[in-house]
Amino acid sequence: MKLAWQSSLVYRGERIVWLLLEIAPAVLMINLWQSLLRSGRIDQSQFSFLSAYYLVNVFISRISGVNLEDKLIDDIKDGRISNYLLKPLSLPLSLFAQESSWRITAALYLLPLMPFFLPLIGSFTGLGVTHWQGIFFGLFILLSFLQKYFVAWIIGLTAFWIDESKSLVHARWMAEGIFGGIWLPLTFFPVWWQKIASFSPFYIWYYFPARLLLDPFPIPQIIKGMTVAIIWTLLLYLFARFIWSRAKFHYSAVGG
Amino acid sequence: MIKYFSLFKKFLAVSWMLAMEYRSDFFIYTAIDIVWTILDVVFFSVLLSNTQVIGDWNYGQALVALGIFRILSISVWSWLYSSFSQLPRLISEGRLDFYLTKPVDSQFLISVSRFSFSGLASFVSGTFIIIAGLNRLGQHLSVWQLFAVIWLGLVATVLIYAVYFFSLFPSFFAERINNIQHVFSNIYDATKYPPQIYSPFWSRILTSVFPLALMISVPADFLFGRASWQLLFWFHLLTLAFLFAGRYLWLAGLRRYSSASS
Repeated sequence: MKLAWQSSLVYRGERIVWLLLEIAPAVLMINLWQSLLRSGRIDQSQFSFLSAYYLVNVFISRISGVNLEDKLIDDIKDGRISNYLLKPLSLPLSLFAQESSWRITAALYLLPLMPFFLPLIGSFTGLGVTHWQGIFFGLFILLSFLQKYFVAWIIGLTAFWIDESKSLVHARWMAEGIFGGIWLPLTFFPVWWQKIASFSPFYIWYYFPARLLLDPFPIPQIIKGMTVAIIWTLLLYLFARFIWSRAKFHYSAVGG
Repeated sequence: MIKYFSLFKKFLAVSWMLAMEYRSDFFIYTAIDIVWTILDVVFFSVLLSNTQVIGDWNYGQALVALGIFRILSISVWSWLYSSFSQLPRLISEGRLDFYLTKPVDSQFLISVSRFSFSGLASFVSGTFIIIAGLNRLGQHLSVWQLFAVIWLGLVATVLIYAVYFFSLFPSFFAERINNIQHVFSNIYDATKYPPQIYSPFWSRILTSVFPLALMISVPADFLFGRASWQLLFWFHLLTLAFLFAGRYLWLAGLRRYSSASS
């Protein structure tokens, strides 16, 4: 944790670039909706909802995004994970600790921008968020972080068997876009699409938590969402464990 | 000049050999490129089915712009990203000497060192999308229009190169920004929207200081018969200005660069 914090301060430039890269698409989409507001195609309440939606997604992405695949794939291919395998510590656990620390420091970099964010989100949510909304939001973020971690871990481990494992990262981005609602709120898509999306793990990565905060679902739907999320988290955990147990036997490295 | 052209051909040949050596990689990334194109069309279709227009583009016009965006994205992903992705690391780790000690211009070497061919599928899909958009608009291109839009596409490619190269210069002045090459490739996505979606302030910035809004919209607006002569002149002028500014900053950066004992 201390190391992650030190590294985030030393390489401030890089961290600020990552932050800007996450904010830029949201700002772009807000500009797009603002132009539609100016031309009278949407009303003020729709614009407020959409702006808040994209800003909440930036926040969600900052505190729960996991991007360890590329480095893990490179480390596996270049034989650098020997460092972990030869020491009395677990690779998945140490990567999990690194990612968690990185998320906390990433959220801290967002803090200076919150004075700009909060009025926009606050203007939509009115007086604020109820305790229940906050608790459910937190739980879904935690589950989505775990799922993202397991998916990233599974994608990374495919490097033990296939050369083109980095291409799977694109598949994840695509799924986030079309099932996770990161490009557009899923309400823009046909109902059958939304139904399919609601049974995928990506549904709770962005769309569900954002809606929970801005326009809460009825309680039965929240319980259904939570059940699906827990089932997916368990399945992904078991699959990640299974893959790792098989992958270790495929590993070979020279030197050290 | 002949030496540079010959080198360029050799770099292309080496990149092609690499692509064919790792054929499965090439085919998978070609498939990914096609899926991204499909998703772009899905995104615009869903968006426009709800809003009817984006800025002052209707569905047919948005398709034409999207087709141009896909074709020009070849220069971003298959050429520039491949060539520039190592540059920030080379600078921060002091390994740029490898390029500086060669008897060839270093900017040229950095700019053409690597190509990827998996993005070429975007040329076919982009062309189809443009034809579909023009059909929807009930518009046919004359030979003159076709040549003019190809020329504007080439100028846009040079502008993309110049702005991308320009965006990398902070690498020389910061201790380590190894992710700076993602900035342009990430915000290039913004070029597929019309400049009218931005507020007057941002519109001015994005058509002059950081001319993202012109890269796709100028060739597209030309096809829609809406590009004024002043806009076309400004487009060419900005391209030249960014080329020279990039060159100046590269040379200034090299004066500041210090090696790491190679």
